[in-house]
Amino acid sequence: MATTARPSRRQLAAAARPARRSIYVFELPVRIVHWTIVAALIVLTITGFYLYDPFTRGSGMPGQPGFTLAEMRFVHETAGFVFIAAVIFRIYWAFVGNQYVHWRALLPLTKAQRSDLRDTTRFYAYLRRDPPLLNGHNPLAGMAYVLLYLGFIVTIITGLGLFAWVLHVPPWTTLFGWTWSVMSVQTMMLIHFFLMFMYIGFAIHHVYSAVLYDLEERNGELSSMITGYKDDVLEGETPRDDPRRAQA
Amino acid sequence: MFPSGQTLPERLEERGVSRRTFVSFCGVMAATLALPAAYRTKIAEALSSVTRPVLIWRQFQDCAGNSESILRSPHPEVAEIVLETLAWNYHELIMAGSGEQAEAMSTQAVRDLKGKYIAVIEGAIPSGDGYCTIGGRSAVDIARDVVGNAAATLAVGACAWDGGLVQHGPTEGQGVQDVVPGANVVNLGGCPHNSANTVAVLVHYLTFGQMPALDQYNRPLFAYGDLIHDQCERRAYYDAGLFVEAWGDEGHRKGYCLYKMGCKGPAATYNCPNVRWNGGTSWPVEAGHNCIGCASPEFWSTMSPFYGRLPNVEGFGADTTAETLGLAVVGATTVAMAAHGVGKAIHSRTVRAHDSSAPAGPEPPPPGSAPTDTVTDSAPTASGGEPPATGGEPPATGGEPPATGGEPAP
Ligand code: SF4
Ligand code: SF4
Repeated sequence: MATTARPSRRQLAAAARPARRSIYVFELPVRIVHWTIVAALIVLTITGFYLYDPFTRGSGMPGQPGFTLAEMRFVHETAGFVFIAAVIFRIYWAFVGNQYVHWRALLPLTKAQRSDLRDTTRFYAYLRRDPPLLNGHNPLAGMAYVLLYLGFIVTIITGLGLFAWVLHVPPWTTLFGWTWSVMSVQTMMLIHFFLMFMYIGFAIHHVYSAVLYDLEERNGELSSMITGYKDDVLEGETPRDDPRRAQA
Repeated sequence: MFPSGQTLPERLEERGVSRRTFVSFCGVMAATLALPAAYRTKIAEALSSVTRPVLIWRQFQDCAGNSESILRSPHPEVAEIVLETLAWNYHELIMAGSGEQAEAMSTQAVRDLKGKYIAVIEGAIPSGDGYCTIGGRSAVDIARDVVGNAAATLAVGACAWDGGLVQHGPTEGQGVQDVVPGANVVNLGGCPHNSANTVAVLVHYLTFGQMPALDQYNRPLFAYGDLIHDQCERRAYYDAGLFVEAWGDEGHRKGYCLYKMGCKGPAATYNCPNVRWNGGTSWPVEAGHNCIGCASPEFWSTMSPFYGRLPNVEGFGADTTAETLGLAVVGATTVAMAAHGVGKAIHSRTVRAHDSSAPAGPEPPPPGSAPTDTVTDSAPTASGGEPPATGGEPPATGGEPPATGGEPAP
């Protein structure tokens, strides 16, 4: 850990200690949901953009009409329902999951979380060399995820409103026909489409931050979303007066 | 009010409309109303026996397009039937009378036939100050009088429905249901209304004594219940992914789908593709033009731009599309992240350089800071031996390679 060319002070300090122990942060359901959402969003982005602007000419077997756009729509709708299931499950897991993925870990509710929020902001704003020591999400990221999920909910509702519009039959019209009186169908498409770019932007930021943290903390940040384990950066530290944080 | 004693078929016969034509008209009406063919005779019987109800057609801020649409029937017999079935006591465009005499026809009907006549309103009702007065009375006044006392009202065309094109103009045009809330109004949106639907609603009313089933906008479901897109003959090209890319290109000549030209068929409902126009000859998409969703709520705003896929995003200049804006967001994020990464690399090095030259770094621990800060910042000796500005690589490439494939949640 201290073998890099330019180790940080914390890394050097950590090197003086025995190897940090691993802690289980991301439970299996969370990891499955995470990668399901990643896969679904990739599929939804490609097919969704095609539905907005069919950029390639549809084709079929020689002499046969193709069914390109209809197939794209089918894949988009199917992936949409997978996405909805994953998002609903993740929201459910925010109530039953462990301390790191619990909804209370995502919002700056306690004094300690607010102090971490300030420190994280200072870290991103170059006012601080190292991010605050945390095993779970930092509060800034937590808030970003809450925003992200609010976006997801809007995407899902507009998506279901459009799905009901396309089918135009009950029970979909009964369930989601009300969306048409909230906004015009064209506006619904616009919002549904525009949020896609927000998610692309989010993904870029998300990967960047993950790499940044992995390099700063050397705690297995990147691999944790596959293995579930991170190095315990709090080991040997004075635990804060936050019960969800103390690894007692 | 009209030559009495005669039945409708007799009067039609006098005007040269055969019984056969009349019955086939009833068949078309049954089909338009999506009723089984057997209703043809029921409609014919009902129309033959009704005592010519009075109809008052008032126009306010309009272009007379809806009147033209109903009067310029390519089959004069149909117009004859419609004009003979009802007593059109007031219709500015076609009545012979003028001035006070004409106005009296309207006021008299409202007075004498309270709750018995049918009102048709065409055009928006200007609610702005001092716009549109007829015979000294404001449009709002007349509309309240005529609509409020009618047995039923048909608001024909986009403007009478919700204010239409002039909704946001200085006249502040409003729809009938906004000006006379609670009135028994059937909205027949469209620019213009398709007269086949309007006549069918009248026929339904005369045959069954009530209005057809309506949707949440009080539009008859038989006409406004289905997507244009689901009834369009170009739909197979849509599903196949074959599109017109430019006006007059090969796809356009072959009749491909007009989606990429901004067709609003997928977002609009109407029975336009089935009832068609000009006596059922054709309809706009068949003729090669995209649908602009003329029968949708506030279509002038919601369906704009007529030749674009999605609405423009307001507040970012005239023609900023969601795509441009979205790509800008993505681009800006990428640039910001890259810049931040470079910044982080430089920052790390500067901090370390200061750390090694002076015990107090540029970032003294803030008063009352968390214990973690203390741990972090209280080990200056640990990095003390490092010469400043060593190591050229930025953090993104330096050090142990991170586990690949993982995308954690920082
Ligand atoms: S032309 Fe318009 S209504 Fe017809 S299939 Fe294409 S998009 Fe749909
Ligand atoms: S094609 Fe669309 S815009 Fe044109 S008349 Fe029909 S419904 Fe209206």
